[in-house]
Amino acid sequence: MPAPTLQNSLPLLTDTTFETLFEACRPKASGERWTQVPWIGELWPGRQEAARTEKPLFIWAMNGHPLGCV
Amino acid sequence: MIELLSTRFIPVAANISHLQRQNDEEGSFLRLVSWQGRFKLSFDEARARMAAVDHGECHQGLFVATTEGELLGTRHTRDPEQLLEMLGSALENWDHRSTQKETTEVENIQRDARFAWVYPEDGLVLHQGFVDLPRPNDARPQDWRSNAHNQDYVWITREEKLSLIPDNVAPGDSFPLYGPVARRLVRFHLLDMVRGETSPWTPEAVREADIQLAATHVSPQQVDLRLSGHVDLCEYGEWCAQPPSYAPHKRGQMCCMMNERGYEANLLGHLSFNRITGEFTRFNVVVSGIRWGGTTFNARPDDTDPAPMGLAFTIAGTEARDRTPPHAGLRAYFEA
Repeated sequence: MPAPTLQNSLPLLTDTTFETLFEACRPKASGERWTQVPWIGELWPGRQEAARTEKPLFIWAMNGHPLGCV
Repeated sequence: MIELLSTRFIPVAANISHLQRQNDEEGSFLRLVSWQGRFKLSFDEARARMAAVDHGECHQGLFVATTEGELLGTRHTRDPEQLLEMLGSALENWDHRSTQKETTEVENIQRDARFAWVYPEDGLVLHQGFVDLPRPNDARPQDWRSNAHNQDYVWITREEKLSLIPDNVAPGDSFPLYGPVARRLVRFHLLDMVRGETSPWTPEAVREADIQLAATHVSPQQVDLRLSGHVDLCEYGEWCAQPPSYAPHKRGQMCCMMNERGYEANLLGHLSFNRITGEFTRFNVVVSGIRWGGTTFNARPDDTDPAPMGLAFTIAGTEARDRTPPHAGLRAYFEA
């Protein structure tokens, strides 16, 4: 590893710091507004639902799953 | 935007990294839409090419289409105003569509087995977060890059879940985290994906990975465990990042080459296992360490110096989005 700068050295991870670090690092998706859209996470079930409800499909297609890691 | 997408459309989010290569009707349907939207082919031209999987193209994008694949709108943008404009135009086109004129039924399909992820209903699914930890010496631009975060999911099968707890475990016992799960966590999840996706670590990149469990409480009903460990991960390669849109270079022209990436970190966690139900009720783990370097798609060309990065795992929720597969290749993930 290249020498880290002194100020950005390895964070302490102890039983004392655990909860603070856990809250800082835990996934944050549930609080974000994009989660308010009722996404269907696969294309084919979405196509089936669009056909059943007679609505157009909106497709968000990404390398990596838009609802997971992109 | 949220109301419009929720009421006037069926909103789908899909991972095209495998979908665009799927040799089945689902893959063909994506390609039919994308050949029109991203590559500007006519509906008939797109239909003629939809079955081919060896196209070598990226089908990423935002599209509106009928269920028969007739393109109604597309715009590859992060700008909400531009997206709203496209949605409005697509709804106008919907009124004049030539397909999907009435309610129909679309049959179930058999997916291309190479990419058919099956949610582990009776296994263990973890939700993972990725963040840059605070930097007292912070030279990052004060834009999205100083506030980036990402997420992923960890899938563990029922058999693997049950293998995490020895039947005869006693208070004070210490033992390594079950090998297949440890290797999967390390190679596919202890990654720098704060700003974007990256590839898994090769087996050779794992210089050290020691993850131990210690039983802190054991009763006929429950086992509590403390997880601790240390990893040292480093890999050398040639990763050329995508230059910014204003740059005179294109990707591959050696302007943004990175040759190393690494992560040295400690792990600490607290787990609880209900022996009656066979389920984990707590699986909170923190990984805290120093990352450096970058790869083609994780947006680190301006941030390769060593800096703190934190990851956390917890039991996933039960929303539909919590069934999203891990960011990985199916076979490699379960054979790590």
